[in-house]
Amino acid sequence: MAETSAKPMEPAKDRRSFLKIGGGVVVGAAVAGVATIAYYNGVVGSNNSSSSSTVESLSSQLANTQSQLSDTQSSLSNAQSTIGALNSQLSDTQSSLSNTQSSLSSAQSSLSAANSQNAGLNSQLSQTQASLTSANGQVSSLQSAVTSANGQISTLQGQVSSANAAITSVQAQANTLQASVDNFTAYQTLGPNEVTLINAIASTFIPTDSNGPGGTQAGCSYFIDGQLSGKYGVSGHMYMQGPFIFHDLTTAVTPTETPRIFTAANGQVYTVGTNTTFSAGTMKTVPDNGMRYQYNFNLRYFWHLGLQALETYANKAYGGNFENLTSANQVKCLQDLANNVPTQAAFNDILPADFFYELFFMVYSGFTMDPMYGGNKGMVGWLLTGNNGVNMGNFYGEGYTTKQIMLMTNPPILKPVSLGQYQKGSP
Amino acid sequence: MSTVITEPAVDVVVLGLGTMGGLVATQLAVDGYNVAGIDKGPFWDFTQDFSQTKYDEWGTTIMKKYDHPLPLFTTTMRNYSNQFALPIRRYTVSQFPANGHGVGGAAHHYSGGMGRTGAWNYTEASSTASRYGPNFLSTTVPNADLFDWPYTYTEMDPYYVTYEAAWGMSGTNMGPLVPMSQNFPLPPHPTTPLGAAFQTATEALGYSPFPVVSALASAPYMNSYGVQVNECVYDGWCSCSPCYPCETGAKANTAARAVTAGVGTGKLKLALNSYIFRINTNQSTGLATSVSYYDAAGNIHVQPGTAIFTGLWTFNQYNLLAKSGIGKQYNPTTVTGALGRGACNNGSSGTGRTVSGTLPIGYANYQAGNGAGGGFQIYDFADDAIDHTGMAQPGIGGPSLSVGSYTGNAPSDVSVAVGGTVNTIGSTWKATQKNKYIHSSTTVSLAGSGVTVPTTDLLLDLDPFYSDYYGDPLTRFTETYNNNSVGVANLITPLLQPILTKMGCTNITMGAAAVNGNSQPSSYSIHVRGGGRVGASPTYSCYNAWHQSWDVNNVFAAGELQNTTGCTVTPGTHTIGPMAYVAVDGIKQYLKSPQLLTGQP
Repeated sequence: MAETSAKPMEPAKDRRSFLKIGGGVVVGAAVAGVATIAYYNGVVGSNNSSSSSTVESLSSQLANTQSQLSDTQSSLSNAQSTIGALNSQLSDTQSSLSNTQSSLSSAQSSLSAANSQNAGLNSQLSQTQASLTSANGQVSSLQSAVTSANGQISTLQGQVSSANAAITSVQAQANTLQASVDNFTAYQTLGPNEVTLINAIASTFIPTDSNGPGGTQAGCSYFIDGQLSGKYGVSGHMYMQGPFIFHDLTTAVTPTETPRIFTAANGQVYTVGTNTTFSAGTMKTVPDNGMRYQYNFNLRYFWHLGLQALETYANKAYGGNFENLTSANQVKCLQDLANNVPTQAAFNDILPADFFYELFFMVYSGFTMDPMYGGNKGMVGWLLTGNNGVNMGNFYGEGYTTKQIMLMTNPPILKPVSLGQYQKGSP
Repeated sequence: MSTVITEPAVDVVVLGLGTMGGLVATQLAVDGYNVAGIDKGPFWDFTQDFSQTKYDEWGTTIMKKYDHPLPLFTTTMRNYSNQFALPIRRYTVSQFPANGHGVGGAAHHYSGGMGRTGAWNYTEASSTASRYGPNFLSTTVPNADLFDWPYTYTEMDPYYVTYEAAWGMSGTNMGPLVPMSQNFPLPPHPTTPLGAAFQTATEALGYSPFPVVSALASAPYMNSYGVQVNECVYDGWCSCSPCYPCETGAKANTAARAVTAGVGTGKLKLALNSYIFRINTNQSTGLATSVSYYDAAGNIHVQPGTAIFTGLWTFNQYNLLAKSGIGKQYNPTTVTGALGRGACNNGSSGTGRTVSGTLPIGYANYQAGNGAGGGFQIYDFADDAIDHTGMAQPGIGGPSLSVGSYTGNAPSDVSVAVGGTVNTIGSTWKATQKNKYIHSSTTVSLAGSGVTVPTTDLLLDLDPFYSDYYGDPLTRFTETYNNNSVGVANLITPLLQPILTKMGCTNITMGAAAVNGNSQPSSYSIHVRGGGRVGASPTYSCYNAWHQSWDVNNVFAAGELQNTTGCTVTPGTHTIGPMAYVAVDGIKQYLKSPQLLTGQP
């Protein structure tokens, strides 16, 4: 640029200050060059009588001045170019200003609209506030209604509570009355310890729970007592002649009894021969088998011995009488019997699994057989299983016949009927 | 000292007044013969004795208040000859052989499920040999003891018809595979939705379904003896595995069909509550002369007769014949003798094979319906209908299949009671019992199985250690199973799957292949058969084609003891029926001309 190659000259007054726009430095340099030329022209006019040294000096000054003029012209050209650029920028700026003015105008218009909305919202706000006030008023009155209702609920709960207490009391009275009219309010055979134990066993097999009353409530102990007091107890329905040799024996059997030699009318002789040892023991059976009971005493005595053995085992294995064990240990204790954990010798010479079979058999029968035998009280067993007993479809006016029921694919739940009710003929 | 009373002589002494004896005694009396009928039990009056008291699962099923009392006598049992046989000391559910007791016998409490057995059963032995070769069973059942019956199915047909008319059976007929010269006299019972589904599906597959055959009368009926029969009231307390007697007489037995008519002729006199202990024989004539029995007071009666007919239940008949020396006792070591030979029971040493599926058809186990009705049956896989050629493991026979019979034919709580295990304790198990009488879907199961094949190791003899109430020896039963059914199950069960598919079952599951095993019977059922068989030769049979004893020619017998082989359909309700009438014909021939009879029925 010109100012970097400019020869050193007497510094002029800086007149760039009023034109500090864009390339102010270049313009300032040009103006300073022009001012210098104007100073030098005055100096040349007053010194005409000078000598050739003055001409030389003047020629030199002229060369310098021409050089400076060239620089200044160059600077002027630059400045003009800059002015062009500045003009262009001014034009842009004016355009931006114009846009800005336009935006400002829009903004003012939006502001105006916003102001208008604001006015509307203020109006709504005002209305809402009025509604809120009204609603608050309603809440207030509702709250007092709730308080009042809560008060009523409280009163009613108190009444329900009293009613429940009354029901419990009446139920207790009904149970007492039931017991007093019941055939089996007394035990004919079982001792009190046996009753306690049997109730605990029955409740272990069939607890009272959300599915209804269990083995004790159903009267299983009365059923069992009734059977032990009758034909079942004396094994009157059974073949009870000896010899008594055990089932499922895997070792050789040599009966002490002498085998009979039977001669038929045609001379045919029935005998086992001289060998009375049966090397393969006795037959393999399943638990529900009429050959399993080979004890030489009746079922009443079997139960007496079995219950006694169970208590002994419960004490030995679980530290107390069966009826005092935890529920979990009661279950385990019964399972131990099914698995023959105690030995037969330690169980009054009864195979524990045989006693387990009898216990479950009689408890479940006590739970589900006709109530006339003392169990299934209130038909709770049948209410669980859905057994209709002797309800042929219309005992309570349900309106079904057995011929319809036998073909149903969507059977209704029929309320059970006992044989006693059936014989009476009406509910 | 008990008194000995000699009764007036009669033409025929009939032992037992159950299904066999009741029909024989009645038919002979109706035909003009003098008959003495003897039974150890009472004459139940079904209008009084059952109507108010039978609805009692405990008393009926467990205490067996209507049935044979075990203290009188029982049976001892073992699997092998080197085992000590133990007595069955009480009835349980899985061992319910509630022998009959009294006029009508076990048919007071049976389910009433009937059905002729097909023609093939009568010639099992020769049919198998001719179609598959003489050694067909030699690898599976090397000790098979199979013989043909001494008569054919065709020869039995008219006798079947006579029985069916006396009983008043309900059904249509048994289709082309069991041809009948006459249909059953009463119509079938109403069909269940499940039975209809089975009928439709099997028909669509080209099989020949027929309504299950029932001994429960489906309509009022006047039978061949002029007895008026009431129709079934479908009260559901009917079926056998509880064993409920019928209070309307709709369930066919000789008390409700025959004996009253026989007594009404004036030619039949009854001795009830009388325990027969001997058939007395004259050793020089070789003939029976009389029968001895105890009355309820313990007096001995002697009842003379020209001919004797025993209709006693299987083991009881054996017991009396053995004690009386009628027949040569079987020896399984030497395979000689026929008395006590061939007694067998349904069952298999190996496992079976079942295909099953589910249908969304609900039902109730409420006591409603009866023991034999509602369903449909097919004979298309039975007997030798399916070609057994080239079986991987040979076996003979095939199943008769039925689906859809009434589901409420008896209460079933006691069958749970006898199933106690370590898992039947507490609330979780109790919850499984909830509403188990009501179902919203059905599982349909079909299984192939073979016929029961008697083997030479089976034995009935007299027990050396145990006695009846009067001190006489009990019957001892030595029984094994064999693997005949295993190959048949594998041959036939897969063929049954399309039926379930056609019915629209879901979750169709084919069981694992049946395999041989060594499982042995742990009890016997009332339908034990064989032990005193009818046959063409006295080497292996006790009776000829006229049910006449080879050994004592004036003794005749009918019942399952006379079964020559096992049968596809349980013979003890229906197939024994014609036997009684064959014996009647034989007795009449004998009385006309006393000799060993020849010829065929």
